[in-house]
Amino acid sequence: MTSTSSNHAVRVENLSVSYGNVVAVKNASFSVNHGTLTGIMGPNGAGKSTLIKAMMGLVRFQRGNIRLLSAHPSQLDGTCIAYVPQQNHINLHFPVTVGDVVMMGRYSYMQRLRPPRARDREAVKASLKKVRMHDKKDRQIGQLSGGERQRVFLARALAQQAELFFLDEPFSDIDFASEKVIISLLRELAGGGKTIFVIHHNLDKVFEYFESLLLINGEMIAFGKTQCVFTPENLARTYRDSHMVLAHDDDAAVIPK
Amino acid sequence: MIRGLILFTESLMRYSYLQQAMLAAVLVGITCGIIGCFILLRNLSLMGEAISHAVLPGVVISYLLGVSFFIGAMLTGLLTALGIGYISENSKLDDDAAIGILFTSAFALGIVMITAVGGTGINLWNILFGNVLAVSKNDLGLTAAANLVALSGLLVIHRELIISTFDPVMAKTVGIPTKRVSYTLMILLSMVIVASLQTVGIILVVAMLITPSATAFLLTNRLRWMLLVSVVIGALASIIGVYLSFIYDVATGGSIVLVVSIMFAIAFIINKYLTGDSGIQ
Repeated sequence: MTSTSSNHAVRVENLSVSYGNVVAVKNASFSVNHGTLTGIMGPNGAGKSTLIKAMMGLVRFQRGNIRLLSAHPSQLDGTCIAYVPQQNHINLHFPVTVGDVVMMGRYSYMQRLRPPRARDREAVKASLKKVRMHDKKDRQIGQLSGGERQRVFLARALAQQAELFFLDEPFSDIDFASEKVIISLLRELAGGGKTIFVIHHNLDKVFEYFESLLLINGEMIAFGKTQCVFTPENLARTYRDSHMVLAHDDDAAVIPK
Repeated sequence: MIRGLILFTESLMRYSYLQQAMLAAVLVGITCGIIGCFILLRNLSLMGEAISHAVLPGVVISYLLGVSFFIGAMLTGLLTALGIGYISENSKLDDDAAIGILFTSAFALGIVMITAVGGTGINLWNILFGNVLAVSKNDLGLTAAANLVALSGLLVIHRELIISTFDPVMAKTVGIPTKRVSYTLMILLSMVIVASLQTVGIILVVAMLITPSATAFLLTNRLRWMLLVSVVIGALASIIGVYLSFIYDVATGGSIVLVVSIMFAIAFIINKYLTGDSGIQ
């Protein structure tokens, strides 16, 4: 069992995270190979954000073990992990431009008191072109649509040239064109061997977007290939408190109670 | 108006106390303008208020020990900032309640100490509202040194400061020690506040931190412009404030703060009614 572990980009064993007396994540165990695009789904307050924060080494966990790229999260340097925050956690009035935000992704490559070098500027430019936002590089961040802003944060992650990507609800409240740009880039990254976790809230397109899926509601409900995990039974267990799950053959609908 | 200007210019040439006052005020305007931008963006206005009030007992203690007021003032200012963090992290109280409790406690301690010691030669009015015309060469040197240290500190950590203010989670993932960054900012802030003590005093120093940066925030969209506009406003208000206080013989600190408040009002009106919230690109 341990001999195969080095092949895994991410390995989580028996992870439990609590805040005070509140258990946020209970008994999560899974491993993911390099080049996998994994969706993380569950109702509000199910511990999705806590799970990725634990994986990124940002919250202390009481039990379990996490290995990222065969190392403890805290041993990784700043270039390994790229994070795309949830839209509504961003201060839209902050006086930074699109270009400034993407340059933040180059932080670990820059030297103190030195201006960005040519390769940093190149990386920013290339990343902005990939998300098709280069023509708006001088816009203040609040002057963009939700989808454009989400693309900018993905560009920041690209500029970081990381191995692991964590995205917190990148598809909520964005336009169709942006969604297409983002998913095709994520696929391209996964194709290039990058490992990606996406917190996702929308039940349609799950098959289309994610090859592997993790369902969580405090406790980890299921993990595996999407076609094995995305079943009415698993969905019913995941969303039992807050939603009704209607199942018919292979189709399922989840309706808020 | 013209006669006032001539009189002021002549006096400025002739009297070194006026030159020193002017220099001290401009220095404070510049440094407060810069650090104020970060304080504003991190929603720490109240923290500035707390540190500035908590400086009072430190001044008295310094006097009793016969050391420079700088040391004691920095110390009690910082202790209060730490105490606020400690209380809000270890109870269900938020920052603003912890701030309300601690800064009034420290301030009360200062007042009680001054009255208990009695006849100390500490001029409470000067500490509370500043007395820039009494700035000595020594004081000016100290102010300049403190401001220089604070500005250099900000320059060294500016990238970490900006990223951790904008997106704290991402900052941690790229390895920025966000806690250490915010403690460093607190230390630099205390330094700037203590250095501003003689110009505007502890009651009004928050105005020098927040009003220029808030005015610049309304008028600009990019951090470098915000910093520049904030510095210009801080420095200009200091010059005009010293001038007005000299000509009309009114308190300098109050006069500087009133000027900066008027500038804010003008910017607010321009922003609200004339430009439609876009700012300088």
